Amino acid sequence: MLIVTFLFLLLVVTWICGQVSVYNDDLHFPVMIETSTECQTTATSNKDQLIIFTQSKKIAKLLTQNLCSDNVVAKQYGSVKGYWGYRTAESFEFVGKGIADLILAKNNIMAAFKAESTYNYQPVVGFSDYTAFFISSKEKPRITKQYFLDKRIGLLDYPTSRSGHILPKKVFKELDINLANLKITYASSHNELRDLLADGKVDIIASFWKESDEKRFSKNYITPLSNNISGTRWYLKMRQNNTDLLCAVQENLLAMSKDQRLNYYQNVQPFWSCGTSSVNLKEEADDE
Amino acid sequence: MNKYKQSLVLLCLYLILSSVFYISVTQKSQQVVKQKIIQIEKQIALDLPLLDLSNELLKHSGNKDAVNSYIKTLNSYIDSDDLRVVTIVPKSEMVTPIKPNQIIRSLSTNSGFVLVVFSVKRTHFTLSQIIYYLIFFVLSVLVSFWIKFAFIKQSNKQLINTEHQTITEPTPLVLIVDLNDKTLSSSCNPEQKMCLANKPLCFYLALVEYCTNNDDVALSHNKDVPEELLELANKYFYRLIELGHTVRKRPNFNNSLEKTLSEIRAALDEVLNECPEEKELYYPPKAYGEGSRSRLHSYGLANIRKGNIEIIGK
Repeated sequence: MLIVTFLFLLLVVTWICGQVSVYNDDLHFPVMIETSTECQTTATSNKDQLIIFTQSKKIAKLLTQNLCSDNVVAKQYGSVKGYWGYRTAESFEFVGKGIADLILAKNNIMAAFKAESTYNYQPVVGFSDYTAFFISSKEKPRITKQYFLDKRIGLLDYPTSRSGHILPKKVFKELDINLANLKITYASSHNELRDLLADGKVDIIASFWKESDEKRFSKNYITPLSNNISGTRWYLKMRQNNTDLLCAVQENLLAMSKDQRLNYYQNVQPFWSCGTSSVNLKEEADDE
Repeated sequence: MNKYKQSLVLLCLYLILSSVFYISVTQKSQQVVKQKIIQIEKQIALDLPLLDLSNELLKHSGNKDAVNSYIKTLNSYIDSDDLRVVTIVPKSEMVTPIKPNQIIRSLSTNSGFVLVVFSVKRTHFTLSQIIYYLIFFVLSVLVSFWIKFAFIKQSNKQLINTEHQTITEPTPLVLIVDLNDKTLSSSCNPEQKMCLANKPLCFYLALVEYCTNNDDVALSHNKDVPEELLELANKYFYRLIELGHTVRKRPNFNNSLEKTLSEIRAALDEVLNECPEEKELYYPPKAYGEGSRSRLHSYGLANIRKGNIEIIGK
């Protein structure tokens, strides 16, 4: 009787041991997808916040850090907060509602929202103008209707891109090609487009030309679509005539652009002439 | 309980304990995996609006690198080899069939279903579990020894009980008297037979029967043999005549009583030689010492009972 009771208890204990031996911890996730970064300037009691928006997380983080350590920014703001987001809709919110103080945007978007007149967004630094191309790997693309009809074409999926979306579609419209008859593959970035072309998944892509492309594609097999597409620009919201901040931001952006690996980002042009007694918009930038 | 049996008990015990442990571990780990999958699903559902998944309607191709790095981060927080998130894809893009160790969960969003594929790996033996198995083995060994000792103890007890029973109930010794060949023998040693003359045989049988019927009678040498006893003796003598052992007329049992008893005693001495402790029951008491033939002495078999003597050919 004693043995039977003991054996029964032993079985119960065994079961409990089995239950206990399995490691069971609750999963706790932090914020998994960050969309912003914040840092304090030296003026900790100042509640004003400088808000930055770009599409790139890396640039947003770098710029936020740089601006936090800037003396001029510290005089005016207590903290700097950088947002990033891949959705075009998000950048519309930041521009259209005037939330961002400093934003990297294309001039077609600024124009669409009339942001220069509503919130007085002023271009600070602009990347160089560029040319949009049709790029092929096997032959030089011809801009004719017949040529495109049996080709697989790679375009960018964000409708604000001029070289990768707007201009090629404009060409198709001019050639009177129904988009439904084209085999279009969408990619989310210029690099992805290049991968599609290199892997032979598409015949033609629409993008800009950069020097490093010569390693993968031939410069002979590109056809320009349009010249002088104005590059992306950094815009600063100028509600006051805050020229100190303008010059500080310009200086930081110029310094940062020099660090970028991408050749395209190195060709930045400042729009303002700082360092003189009066800060003026430069002549060559004015004619845009 | 020999070694073979003990190792069998040990093996059975160990197998039972191990399988109970194994089932328990399996059940619990399945439960844990289920619970974790729910937690992960919840987190993915929360992050879904920020995940750059492709969207057919909006012709959005999505950013696979971003999704993959999200999955990588997620797996680093799950921090377990048993459970991993493999892919997060919209249903329209799901192409590869899932493997047998994968679980597919579907999140229903306003822009269609998003499928989350988990890979579940069962680790059967972790270090702690192996330690548990060892503990169970040691326990089984101990318990099997315990059972062994308990078994031995019990069997000893039973043995003692049976021995006790054999001691308390020995097969009673029976004196066998065969009228056919006028012999005495005992059930203790049936081979040892002792012939007895007609007169002492008849008298002894009559004495036994008389004493069985009359417990507390005192038979004295000084008095005549009781009538009843004589009648019984005559009866046995007639039976002997019937059996053809004698043609002589019946003897006078009153005469030379002492001689008759002596002959009886001598025969009993021989027969009950090997069981001296039983002798007393069958032995007509002797008178010892001076003045022994007193009135008090009785040659009756005081303790004899029916069944002590078996008479063949009665």
